Amino acid sequence: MAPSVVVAQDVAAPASKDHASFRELFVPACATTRNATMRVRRDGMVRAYCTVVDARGFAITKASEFDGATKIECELADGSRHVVRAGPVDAECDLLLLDLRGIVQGAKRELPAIRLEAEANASPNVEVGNFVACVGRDPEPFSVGVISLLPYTRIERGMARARLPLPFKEESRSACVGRVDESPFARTGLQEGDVIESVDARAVSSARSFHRAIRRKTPGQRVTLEVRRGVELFEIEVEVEGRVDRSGRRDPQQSLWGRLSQVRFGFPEVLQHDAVIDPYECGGPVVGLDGRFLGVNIARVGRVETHALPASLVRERARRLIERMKVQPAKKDSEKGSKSDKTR
Amino acid sequence: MHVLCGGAKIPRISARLVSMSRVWSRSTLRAVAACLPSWLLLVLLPGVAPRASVAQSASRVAIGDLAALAAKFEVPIARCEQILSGALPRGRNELSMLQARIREVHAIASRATVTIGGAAGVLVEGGYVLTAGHVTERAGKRVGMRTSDGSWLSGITLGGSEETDTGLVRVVTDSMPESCRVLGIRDSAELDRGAYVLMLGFPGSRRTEGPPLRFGRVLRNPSRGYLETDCRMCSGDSGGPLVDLTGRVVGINSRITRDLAKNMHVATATYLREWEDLVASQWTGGRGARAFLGVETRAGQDGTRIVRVVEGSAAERAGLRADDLILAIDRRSLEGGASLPSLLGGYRPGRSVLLRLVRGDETIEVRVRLGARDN
Repeated sequence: MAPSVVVAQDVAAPASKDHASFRELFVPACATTRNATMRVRRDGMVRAYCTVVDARGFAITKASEFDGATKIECELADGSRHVVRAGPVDAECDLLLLDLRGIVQGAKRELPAIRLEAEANASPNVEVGNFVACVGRDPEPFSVGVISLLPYTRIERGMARARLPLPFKEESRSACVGRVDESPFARTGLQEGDVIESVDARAVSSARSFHRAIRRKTPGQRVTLEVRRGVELFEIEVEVEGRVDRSGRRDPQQSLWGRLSQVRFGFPEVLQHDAVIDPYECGGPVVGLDGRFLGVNIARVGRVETHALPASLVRERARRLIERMKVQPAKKDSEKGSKSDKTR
Repeated sequence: MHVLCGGAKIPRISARLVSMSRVWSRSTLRAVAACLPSWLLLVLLPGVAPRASVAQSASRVAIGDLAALAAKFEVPIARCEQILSGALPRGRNELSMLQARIREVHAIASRATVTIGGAAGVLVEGGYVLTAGHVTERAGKRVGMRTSDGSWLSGITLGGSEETDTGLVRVVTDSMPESCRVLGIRDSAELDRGAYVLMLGFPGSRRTEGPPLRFGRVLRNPSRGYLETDCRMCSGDSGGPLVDLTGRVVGINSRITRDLAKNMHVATATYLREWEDLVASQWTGGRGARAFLGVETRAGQDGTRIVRVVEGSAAERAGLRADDLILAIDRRSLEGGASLPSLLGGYRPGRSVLLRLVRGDETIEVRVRLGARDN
């Protein structure tokens, strides 16, 4: 076997499309959208970008990077960090709404946002071969590429399909466990009649939503199931199954793929492009050559693919998340201003 | 149908459809296995005079009208040509021109890309499909190829090389589906570093989205060996085309390493150099030309004992004798029962290796120039 090699993707050759000289061509395209893009930190570590979708103080980011986070901070253009509140999650799209209203109140002015409504009227120029620029905090995009395929719907790639074939009661509306005594799940301690409430803190309401939640995991990953048995509520940990080579090699190509996002399957619709991004660079906007908003990077899927949620989908889901936020108003609305404390 | 290459006239073979399911499953397995990672970076090619006639005859094919593009984006034609061959665009108009050109070329190239088993290939002029050697594997095999519109073409594999990874298929289906396009071949030696290139990946088996497009630039273009770009590839993309912005094939996807910037394509210069052999179904390298020492051996704990020396073999020429005990090849020890054939498998015919062996009471070193095993 070859010796292990560190993946080197940040040192681009001068002739490469990843080199700054080529990326700088897209500075004008990123000019406006860049202001609506922020770094998001989880407990101090940079985990994603967020895209401000509403000037009153709402942004979206990649939800799974913040599962169980205790402190989420947004980094403004001046480098200051502000603690923000996590809002509702769109599990299907892996989107988390961030409540930045504290920042807006503190600064006493609205945030620059992606104009979702304006984009709705003008259909963005999405064609295979069109340039895409991944907008970050620098004037030039941190990565550029082209649209590889038109937006499409594909539930998962067969190669890494994660599954957990728990038997469920068909007649039940909730995720009610059926007979397990003869299945490999008997050892997990689950009993017939147990109801699965959540998978890794993400609520599931039916067998279907349970399977959907599992599908976003990676084979071999351990997940925590919250189980209700009568009045009792407890947690168990199980390993997600899938096509994993048990010889320890796992996917032989995995090492050739670079670092991938944990949650990278099951989105309702994706725009595939070939700009190389790090898993922690998801959540930010993708723009075309004309500067128009094309979507939000949602997952690094393979050596060759990055998936973005198309603009139309982002628009619809972001609007829904904001509505959900307003329906369940914050517990202490008046205190929100003080919540955003500068930590730097 | 006559193909002008070295005056050879290729008779057309009548189409006979083969059982697709059989071809599919077998070739899929093989292609997937063949696409497994390789860390082989460069291979020296045998010295054959380059041939340019094929490329010249193909260069007539051009996509779109450069003048129209130049006028639309108000960029002088000379400047357009510079950009298409790798100059950095200046300003929005030039970048838009580049983008428009990428779309034009993609529209054609995606319709020339076909699925072969679990890999890809590209239809080129003359009724051929260029693909990788590790996709076709040997000459004279029937293959089914799925075109961009979902119809099937039947083909027969011609020559190839395991060393340079060239592979060629002749299309034997009579009529080409209307939506299919055929690309010309450009000699990759004409490409400059930094030239913009498009790569078409695995078109998929049942998916209808077509081959995914990846954009990049030429990073290395050695006169011999693989063309390297930053068009990222993964398994399944093997055999797919690398196309320049004149819309001609300049390379065929071959292999990758862990470095995301190391994506290697068989240069068309290699195809053109080997063209006569490829068309004549000559298969070079691989099992037929694995390094051959010419000894029968018995492996033991203290080394590998020669039982018999094959007449006329490399071993005989180097003076190896029966009863010699081989201790090491090029300092790689054979003690502890290591297998001689597996160590030799890593060498190419013609390589010279240093054997350390025990003859009688003395330990000697013998240099052997390895031969090739006949098929």
